[in-house]
Amino acid sequence: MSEVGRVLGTDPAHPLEFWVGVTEDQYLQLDDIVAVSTSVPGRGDVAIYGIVDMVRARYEGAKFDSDVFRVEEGVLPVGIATAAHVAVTRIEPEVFVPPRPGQQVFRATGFQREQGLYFDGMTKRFPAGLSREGEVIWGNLEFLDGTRGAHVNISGISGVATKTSYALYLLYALFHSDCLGMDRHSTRAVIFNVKGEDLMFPDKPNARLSPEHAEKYAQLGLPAGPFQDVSLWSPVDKNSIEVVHGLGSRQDGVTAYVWSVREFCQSRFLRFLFAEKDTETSQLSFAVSVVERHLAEATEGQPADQSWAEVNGQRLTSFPDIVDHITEDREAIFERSRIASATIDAFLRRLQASTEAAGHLIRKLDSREEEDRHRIDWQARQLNVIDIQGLHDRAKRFVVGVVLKQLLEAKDRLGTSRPLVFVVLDELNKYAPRDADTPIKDVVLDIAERGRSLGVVLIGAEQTASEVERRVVANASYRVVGRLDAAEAERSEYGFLTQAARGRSAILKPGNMFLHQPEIPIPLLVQFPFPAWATRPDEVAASEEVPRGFRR
Amino acid sequence: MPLTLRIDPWATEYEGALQIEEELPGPPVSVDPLVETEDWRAIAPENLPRPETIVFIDGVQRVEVRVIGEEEGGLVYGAFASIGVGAVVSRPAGAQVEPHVPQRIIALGSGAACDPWNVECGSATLTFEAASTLDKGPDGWREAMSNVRRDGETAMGQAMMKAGHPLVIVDGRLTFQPTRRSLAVGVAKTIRTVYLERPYSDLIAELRPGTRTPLFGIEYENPLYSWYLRLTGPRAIDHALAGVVQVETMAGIGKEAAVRLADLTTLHLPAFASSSAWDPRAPQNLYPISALEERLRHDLGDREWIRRHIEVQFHRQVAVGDSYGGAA
Repeated sequence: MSEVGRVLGTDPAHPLEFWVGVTEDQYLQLDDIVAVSTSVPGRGDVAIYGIVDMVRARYEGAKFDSDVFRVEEGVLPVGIATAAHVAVTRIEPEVFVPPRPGQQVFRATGFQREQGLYFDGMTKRFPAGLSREGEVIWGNLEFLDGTRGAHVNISGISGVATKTSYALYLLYALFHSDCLGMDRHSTRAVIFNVKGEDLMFPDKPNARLSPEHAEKYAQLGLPAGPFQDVSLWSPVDKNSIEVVHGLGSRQDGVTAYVWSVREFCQSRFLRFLFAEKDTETSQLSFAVSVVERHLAEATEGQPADQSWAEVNGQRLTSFPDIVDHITEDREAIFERSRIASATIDAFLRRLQASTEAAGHLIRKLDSREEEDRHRIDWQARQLNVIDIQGLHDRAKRFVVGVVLKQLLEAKDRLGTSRPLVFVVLDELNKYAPRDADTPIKDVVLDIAERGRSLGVVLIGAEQTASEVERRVVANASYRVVGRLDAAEAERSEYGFLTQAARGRSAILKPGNMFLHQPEIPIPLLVQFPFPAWATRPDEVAASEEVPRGFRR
Repeated sequence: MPLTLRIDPWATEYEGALQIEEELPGPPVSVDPLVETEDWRAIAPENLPRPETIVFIDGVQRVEVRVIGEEEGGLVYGAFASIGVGAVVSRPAGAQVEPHVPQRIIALGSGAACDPWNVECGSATLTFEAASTLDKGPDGWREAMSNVRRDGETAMGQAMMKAGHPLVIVDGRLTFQPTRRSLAVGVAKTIRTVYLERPYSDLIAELRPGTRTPLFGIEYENPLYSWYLRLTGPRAIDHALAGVVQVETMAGIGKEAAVRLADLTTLHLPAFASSSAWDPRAPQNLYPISALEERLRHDLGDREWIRRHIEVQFHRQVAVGDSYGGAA
């Protein structure tokens, strides 16, 4: 450890923060870790660790701003004083005393740094990123895998905050380091691709990965390459009679997904078509559940190798069939439910509207094999990307709702939390809004609150945490922010940020995040490497095959 | 009977931390205004390059506690005082302060002496050593205090000249001989004594910035050459003599060297004149001197803190019945 300065006495030192006068031939920069040893009477030496979150330099002996010119002319003699503000991260042993003014301050390296950032106590840890100096910032796996906590919440402005990229990096780090141990290969991840098509190439190496980028992976103890065990899902093409997907940038390796009419009825998926904020009025949702029950009861016991539904002797082979059936039989279906006729009208209006938006996702299939092939199976492969970006908003909600519901049910049936399933969901503000109740929000909340015991870890992301249901955010052990809107950063949801971090969050570059984890009281700046997997068709390494005409 | 000191409860606050303006030594024997030229008119020197370094020297003194002692039936007046001396070395690229460690003294009148006092002041122990004059008056010790400061300034000035700095400027009276390589001047901020009589003195008010009076000789013990120069033009509200300083050097350096020195100072001192926002004694209190004084006063330590610890030392002494000295 090298001495970098001494504790200032002109600004008071506190147990949780103090100022360091920086020695002339040394420097301290933001995010540096420092250590002070102070001796407490009767208690021995106490080590105080902290992280630099502010640095200032100023003239001593000058009175006015204009003195700077006199100093430069050699007329006025002054001194220059540099001082750094330290936010204390750890006091060991826990005797909460301030360091004494005048005490030596050292730059913490090696074991001291590990201690200062609590890395020494992490028995299971994953590389959460690199510091700006290229040292690994560890995350405690116990706060991610449900042992002591779970879930990650990422906030930041679209486009520059690189939220999804960080989520993907986290998965990569988990799947390619030893931290998951024996469970590594059975652990699963489900990602919804909500924007663009940049998540549709994770199995291809990135041609633009430079040796410097690869070096960062080496520093993190990770290989630099694509994800190994991937399945990609894209919705069935609306205009095609065949069950094929409509993804423009990639043909091979992508499976079209669709649900059979029978499964739709039996599994009560209807509610996820009514997942907008405004539909959760008690009357309307009651109407939805009445119809759900009607369809479920009418199709009960119908065999799995039959992909259509047989209701009251009528064969329903498409979503419009279902809509027609409900519209024609409304008297019988709603007979005993005492729902106002106006509400039933409203329900039918919305149902009609769903046909255009999501109707093509529910259809009759040719065989049981075909149905199985096109049903989203997140258990077969490690990384499952579900493309919803091209869908209508209502259809997006439907897919997310259905997949999450089935996932939870499957984990519930399994009865053990291992192996873990990670769910990456962007635009949480849409799926779990603070100011409305929707069926998907119920599912997301369920994951947030029961996920720890079920082994479902939510990696949620949103532009503004202030618009997301409080309980979803509050349950996340890991809080991450990329570049934030300055006004948003002042909200109480970001109370974990220090004042300095809050200011810096407005100028964070892509690839830089503030990471807060339960054990470390101060958010740390982490950098994560450039993706080693392709995120665009033109990044797919040349040796990899890209269909002609699709290379940009 | 040895000297027993007790605190004089006179409030030293009134003394301030400022240096007391020096008494000028007796009236000059004679002033010769026609040393340089017969033609008594303002002189605007030709351009001379600025010396590579210009050194400014100054000292501060501060009374910490006044004391009264009794010795052989007579009263001895004195004071615990701190003295700081330092220099500013100004180069075109920047100026640097070179302060000395402050000196702590017990200034005494009546030629009295006592053992040094070690006063514990928190992180440091200050040693006050006796310095005395023969003057028996209640303020006689002041001379002892000033002597120590002046000696410090002299030593500093000589050291700076020895280091080869071409121009050394002392705040106040010049007390040492310049050398061949290195020239020194004293700059008097206040014009208490107007050496010149009319009609010669009329010229002082007429000086413009960058001009000076011709040299005139002052017959002290050590003969001096002196001149007035203007640093800045007076504001409308100022007296006509505001912005004028009296500069002097030893006549021993020869007239030619003195003229050159007069030209140098006339050309280059105005650059150091302070603004009235910076210093109430502007513009005569030059920036480097002003900053140096502030720094030196700061280096003396906190006044209340030191005063309290001197009092604590007195209390201890009274408690143990120690009748003399404070030597621990």
